[in-house]
Amino acid sequence: MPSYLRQIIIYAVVIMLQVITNNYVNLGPMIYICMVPLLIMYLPLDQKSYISLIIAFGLGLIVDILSDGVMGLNAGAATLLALVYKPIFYPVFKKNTYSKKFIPTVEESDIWHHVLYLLIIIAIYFLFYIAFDGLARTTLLVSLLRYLINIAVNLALAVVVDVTLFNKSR
Amino acid sequence: MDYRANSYKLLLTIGVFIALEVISIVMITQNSVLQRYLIMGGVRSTQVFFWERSEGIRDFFRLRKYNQSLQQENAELRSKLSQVQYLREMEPVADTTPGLYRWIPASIIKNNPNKQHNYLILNRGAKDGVETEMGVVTHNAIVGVVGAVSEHYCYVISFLNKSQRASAMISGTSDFGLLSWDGIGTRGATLSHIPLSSSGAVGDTICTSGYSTIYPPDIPVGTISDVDAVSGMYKDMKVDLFQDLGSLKYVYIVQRHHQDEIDALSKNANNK
Repeated sequence: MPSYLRQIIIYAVVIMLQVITNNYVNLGPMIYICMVPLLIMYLPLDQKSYISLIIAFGLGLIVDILSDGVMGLNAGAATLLALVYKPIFYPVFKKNTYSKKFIPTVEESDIWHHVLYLLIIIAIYFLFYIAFDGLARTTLLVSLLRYLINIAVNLALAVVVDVTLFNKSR
Repeated sequence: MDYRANSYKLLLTIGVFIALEVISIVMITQNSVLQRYLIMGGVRSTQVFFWERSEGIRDFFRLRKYNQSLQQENAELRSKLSQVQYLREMEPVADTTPGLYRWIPASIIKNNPNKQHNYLILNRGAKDGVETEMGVVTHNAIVGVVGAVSEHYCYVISFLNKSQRASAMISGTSDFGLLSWDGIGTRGATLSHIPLSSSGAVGDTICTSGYSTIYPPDIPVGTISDVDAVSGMYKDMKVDLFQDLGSLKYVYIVQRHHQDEIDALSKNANNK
């Protein structure tokens, strides 16, 4: 199977798992399971930036339409992440711009750099998501609590999905 | 040449980024829960089929709870009925008024209480006389507002939604404020903008004020659990709701009689 097709199938499976979990498992109003940052992390690094932006926007919009959330929230957060994921990647993995073919799997990089990278991109994603999901309508403390809980939960889940799905597929 | 090509790429990337973010923010600001419901209208009929069956299984396990709730409601209604009968006996005047509100009983097909923007689907629609902007309540809870109506079903924007506000007052006083969900659990709310002079204290009951035309007055919704002075100007009160809005089954859709007349009057007054 061509690698791009395998990647599309994995992306579809991850999105469906995310949608089913959020729609049918009662995790309470504070927690939102989101694997979109993980999907954006695995977008090819040698791809043109504007194409990455459009793909990320599309991924976010699909999740928005399928989820019981506000349309535009995931699309906006994913687009922001697609803009910054490459500039963050190089310093974290200490790679120069010539090693664009490098794929940041756990097997090809050490686990701590990998988790650090995931932590940063999830933090950026949820910064947009929670800021636009009614920050003005709730207290800063509740929003901060929600932000930290979501980073912790999604980081743990992203590592599990990453190791089980993305690494074994390569 | 290379420098120019890179500049074009950078400008293109920034342009695409700004365009996509603008589209996202416009969607967010257009109250998109309702938007998505309308976009997904075709898919909804299939989803409703599965929701009805999955809710049926859940309902079976909640029967005892529903029975208790209905028993309590019956007791309250009997108590009110006896009061009305007593008043009529005391003053036997022919009463021809139909009541201020029309009540349409409905059951919940889909209730999703675990998001920041929650909604419900009820088994009543346009054929039952349901219209948008009608309130949805129980005998001890504000449930939400009808946001969209199809022939057989209606979509309700839940009170468990940070954009929802309801006018509520402290029972036995004239102090009223805005009741909104706290965004944390299914039984927590905040009553805000209460005057500093208010005597409301922990344990007091909060009920609907009836100052909006959406919800009828005097529905008890919860008790005050904490009082907090905000900026020395007014008080915010934490409210423990009586009803867990995540485990509801039966509700009432309410419509105030002469609603059109009130709306037209408000519109005329605003235009002047």
